[in-house]
Amino acid sequence: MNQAGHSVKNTAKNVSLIVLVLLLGVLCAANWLAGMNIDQMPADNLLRRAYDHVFGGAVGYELRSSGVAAAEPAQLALTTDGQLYGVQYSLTDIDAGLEAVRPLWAAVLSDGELEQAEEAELVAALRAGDCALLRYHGAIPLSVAAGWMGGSWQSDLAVETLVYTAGSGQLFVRTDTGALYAAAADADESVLRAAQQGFRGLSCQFSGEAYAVYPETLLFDRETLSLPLLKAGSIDLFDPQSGTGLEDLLDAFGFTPYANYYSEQNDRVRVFVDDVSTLRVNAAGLIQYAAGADSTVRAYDAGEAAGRAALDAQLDCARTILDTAVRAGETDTHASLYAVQHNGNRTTLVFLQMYGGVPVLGDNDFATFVFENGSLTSATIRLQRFHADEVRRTVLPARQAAAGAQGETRSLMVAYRSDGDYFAPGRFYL
Amino acid sequence: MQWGKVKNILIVILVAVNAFLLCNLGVKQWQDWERVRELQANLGELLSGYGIELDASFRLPGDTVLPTLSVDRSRTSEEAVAAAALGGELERTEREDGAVLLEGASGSLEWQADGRLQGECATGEPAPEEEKQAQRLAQRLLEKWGLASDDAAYTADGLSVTMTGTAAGLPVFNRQISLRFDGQGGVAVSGLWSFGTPYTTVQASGTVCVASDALLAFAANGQDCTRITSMTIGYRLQSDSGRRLQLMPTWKIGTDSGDYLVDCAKKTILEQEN
Repeated sequence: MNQAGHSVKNTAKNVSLIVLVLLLGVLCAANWLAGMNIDQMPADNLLRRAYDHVFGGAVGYELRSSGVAAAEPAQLALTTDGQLYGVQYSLTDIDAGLEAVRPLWAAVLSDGELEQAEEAELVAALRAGDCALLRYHGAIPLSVAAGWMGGSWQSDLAVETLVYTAGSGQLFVRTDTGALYAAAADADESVLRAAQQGFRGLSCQFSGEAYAVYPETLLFDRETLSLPLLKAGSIDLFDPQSGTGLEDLLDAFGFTPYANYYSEQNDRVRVFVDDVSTLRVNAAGLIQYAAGADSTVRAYDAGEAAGRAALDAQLDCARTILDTAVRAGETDTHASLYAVQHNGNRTTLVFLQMYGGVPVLGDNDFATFVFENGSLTSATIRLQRFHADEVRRTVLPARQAAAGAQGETRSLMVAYRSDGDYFAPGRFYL
Repeated sequence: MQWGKVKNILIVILVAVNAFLLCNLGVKQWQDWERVRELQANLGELLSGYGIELDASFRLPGDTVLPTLSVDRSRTSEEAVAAAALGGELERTEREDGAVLLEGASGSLEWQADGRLQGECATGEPAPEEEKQAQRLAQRLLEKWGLASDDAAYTADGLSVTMTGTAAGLPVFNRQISLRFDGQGGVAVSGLWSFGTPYTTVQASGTVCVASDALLAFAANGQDCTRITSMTIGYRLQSDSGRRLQLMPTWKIGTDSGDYLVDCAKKTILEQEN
């Protein structure tokens, strides 16, 4: 009996010890968590997501490491029932078209061996059956464009135009220098049919060999592209009425609102300085950032990413800063990637400014970002605000512009350019 | 070694440590609670300077950080809704500003680029005669059209029914669809809606939502109200300069003169509901 009593006591002590140790663990965790600022943790942190689930934060949203396109296509086209249809220079049309053709491009852009191709080969392929075209405003690395479409391609060749010819089973890509490459490509018939059912646009044709422009240039039937004149408005980034715009901008470049700064030009320019970087903000919209290799603005940590993932992270970092800057300036414009240059560990990203779906060209690039080993070492953004005038101008149709092209084959682009007091839309040869 | 005694000592030590940790946690919680109570009292004093008082039931919500989320416009989903609502072959007209007009056998629906929807169509069902019937029919129709989600909430006012839903687990204050039955088998549809899962990117930073700042900004703006009854954190759907739809963190402040939305980042009062 005595032994049985001992045994019960011993069991009770063991159970108490286990319970107390477990409770100790829980209380230690609770004390640790209570001392942490979980709200400030990045959204991809597991603890942050668990906390949001339990305490009613934002949940059930996707967290994309990248994949958000930093550039919108300028033109899309697809053959449906033997007729080519296309959309161009309109964000809404491009968005709608992209939704329909993205699965097709995801299937087409699934790696292959690119080889230099002849113009005649492209002309023949364009006549061979159904085609799809995707054209950007600038030169985008093929691997990046493929990623945005949901596909994958290893090559970093900078391409402006992609043409899929279902009849010949080929993908043609045109680089920014005008070189033409081709690779075997194949998309499932059902994917092509689904894209054709969802795609809507205006009827058009490829120029082929008819004019002194690239054969894949789209010539729209009865094209009347009418765009408003734009008048540049003033920006005041230091306006107290603009809420936390400047604060957000500083945050995007790794500065706190309490960072040291000195003023120039009657407080029209503020220069924010910390140990490793300098941010010069002109109230009128010019933003210049410079930092050393230990910059606090990092797209990724050393060794964390390489190749395509590193480029994606840098694009994402630049795009996020640009989005913040555009919001701070309330410019009613957006940015689109124009060029990517690699030089060893140094990557330079150049962005165009877009009003609607049309680029606005100035004397300088809208935004330039330079990364070294994933750190942002230099950035320049030239914010501008535009107001659409009631006066509209009809842009020279591509067919007429193509007919007027002379000399070597070239491409055409629609853009706004400064014209006296206004920015006027026009079609330009490239 | 007498293990029984060792266990006793261990139990005493563990009880003491646990009690200390529990006290520590309790003190922290009490301090937090006290800080919020003090802040609310101070806020009450400051607001009284603007002629606004806090309702007895008002509780100041905790500060939080919410990500700004993006939502892609889905024309496929818009067309699917129109096909289910209008039936038969659809005629589609696209306008330069991104609006899409879909016309079918039983009416028409127009989706704007910023997610706004409006239109009229025949329900194909007996016309509701009172509020409950209207709510049941609205729920059935919205489910049939593919608009209703599991967390949809319905409110009826006569023959008008409004459906609201959440995004990312939080209310979206201006995302709602209203059906107004005409009593003759027809219904007018209007509202603001989005499709698909919202997303953000790893690089994107969150917006700090401080309830006291928003309240003071609201009061300083000289609103036509005398009492604040509630305050809720959520989102507001808006299109940005690139015509992308975004969910912006927003406070909803309930007052005796209606509900107001205050942008968490800019502290600007955006619109007055009701």
